[in-house]
Amino acid sequence: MKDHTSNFSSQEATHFNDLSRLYFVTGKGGVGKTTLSLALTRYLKSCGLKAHYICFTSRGDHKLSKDLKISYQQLDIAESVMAYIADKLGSKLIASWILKTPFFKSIFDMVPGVSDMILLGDIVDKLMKDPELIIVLDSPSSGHTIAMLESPHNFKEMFGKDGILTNDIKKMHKSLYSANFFKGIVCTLPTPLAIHEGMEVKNFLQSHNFVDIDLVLNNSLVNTSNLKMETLPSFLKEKIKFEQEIQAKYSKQISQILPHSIYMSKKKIICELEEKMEKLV
Amino acid sequence: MIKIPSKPIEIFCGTGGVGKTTLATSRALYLTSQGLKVLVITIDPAKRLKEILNLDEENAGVIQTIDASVFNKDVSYKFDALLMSPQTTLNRVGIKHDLINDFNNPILKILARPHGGMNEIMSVLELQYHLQSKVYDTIVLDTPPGKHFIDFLIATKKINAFFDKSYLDIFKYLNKPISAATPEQAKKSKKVVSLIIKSGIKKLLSYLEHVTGASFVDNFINAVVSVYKSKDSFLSSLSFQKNLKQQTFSNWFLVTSADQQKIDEALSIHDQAQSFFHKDSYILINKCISTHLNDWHPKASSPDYQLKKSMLQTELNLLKYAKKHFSNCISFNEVLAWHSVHQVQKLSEQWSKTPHL
Repeated sequence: MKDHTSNFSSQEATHFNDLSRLYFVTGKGGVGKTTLSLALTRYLKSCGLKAHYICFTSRGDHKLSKDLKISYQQLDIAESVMAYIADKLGSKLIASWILKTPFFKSIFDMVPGVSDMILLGDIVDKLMKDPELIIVLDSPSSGHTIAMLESPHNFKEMFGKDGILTNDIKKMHKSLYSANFFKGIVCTLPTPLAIHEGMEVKNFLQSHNFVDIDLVLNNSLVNTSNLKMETLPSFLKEKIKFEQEIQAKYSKQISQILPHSIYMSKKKIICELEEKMEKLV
Repeated sequence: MIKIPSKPIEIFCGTGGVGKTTLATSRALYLTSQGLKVLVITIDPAKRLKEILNLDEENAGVIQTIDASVFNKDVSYKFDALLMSPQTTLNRVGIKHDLINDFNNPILKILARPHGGMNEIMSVLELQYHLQSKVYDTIVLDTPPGKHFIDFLIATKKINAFFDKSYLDIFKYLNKPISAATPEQAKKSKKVVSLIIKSGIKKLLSYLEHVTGASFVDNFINAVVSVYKSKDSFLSSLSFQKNLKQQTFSNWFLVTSADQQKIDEALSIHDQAQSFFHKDSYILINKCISTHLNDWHPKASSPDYQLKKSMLQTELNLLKYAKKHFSNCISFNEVLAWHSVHQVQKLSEQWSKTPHL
């Protein structure tokens, strides 16, 4: 990463040595994962780093990423699985044949974790091949994330001591759990239930030995700039007071608070958030 | 009068964090208050229901009776609640087919963990069980968000594919009898075996062994064989899928929330569940604030005007979308409350409203 930090003082350059390689942005649907992921990617790029934004499934917004000058990559599970099997067996033809058999098809159907695990392995591989690369992963919503990160552990147990898969899982875990590799960002909203859910995801990740996890409170009305309390209707005053109480109660658990933006355009909202990303990096 | 007629099964679906569990529980509470016998089931491994109803995780898989007085101290009726436990469901199937030892398979046990991958398929079996027992007037179902909900919808399709006849041949080849074969069948299966060997199943299993290790293949085959032996239980769930589509059998509620930015996600769930929805499916918009802000008229171009606009944006978009795709919509006003029991109580009152659009 040294080449990219020339614009910064040496102190800042040292700071960059602690950067994580994989920013895993998760949380319930609709809490702002994509917005946060794009803002974070833009911030990392503005620091001169080689940051890529990768999106799961079809949630991604190709046009928005383009507007923000962020290269957009969508992961394709079927492709990853095929590439992995082809690599293991040394033949694309056999791999495509195997994946077409009802036997294997139903294995992948009944046990969806297999494909998720292969996909995660693919991402880790990308990072190992290019030591300068940083990936911001706009992850699936928390339930799916939990299944995805838990499945390698389950399969390791299932496959026992031998076999290529067990060895590959071990290899993947070695990278994933190495220092300054994985950083989890759990995005949540300012309601008691949402925060509770966010903390549950955080606890899950930590219980699986992912230690570096930040809980980020998004869409906070309390922190919206230029609010004049006296002109607001009573419901909003009440809502803001309620959010203040929530923030006070969970201040220790929350790493960063992002304001509700009064902008209507996604691009503007993301650019506004970009300035608040330093604390998460 | 119940404004939305109750059905044997009522399904709450939607993206994460919109309030599916809270609304499902409020519906259960409301229907109970109208004199129905109700069971609310959550098949979401996140088990929000556990917190709302203060249930014990250890009792997952066991029906627990909830006293409605926790929501409203003036009432005395009760309803039942169940946290899905795939292992409990699997055990029940095991007992029914006398396969308890076979089901003790390490792979089956891992797959039957809440996030192990078989949750959705086992959920279909669990629901079928309670529907057939006919104890309840209505079963309110709280589903997991996103992909796992889709997994639930296509679970019977997967079951069907799994028990596909052509697939059975593998076990015949492996000399793992599924049922006692008549001499005629045995003769036929010999033929099949030679066919399979030609088509390369032996090769296929050797690839599997190469990738996963030998001990896995052995456990795996045994796991599949024991599931096969109980296939009647699995296949009986196929009728459930058909019933789900019937208007007299199911109420579908697509839950959305005015505090979330994602309409396209709701849209994608809607698309995938389209074949199940019927004319009287409902869209619910939770956490609406427009009625709360009705009397607030900030001057155009003032910062407050901008604030109001930005806060109402999602709600208005959701309404627009609802009008386009649904004939019934119910808006639930946001409830500012620390405790979910208060929210459930407040929301249950809103069920007596007439749907709009």
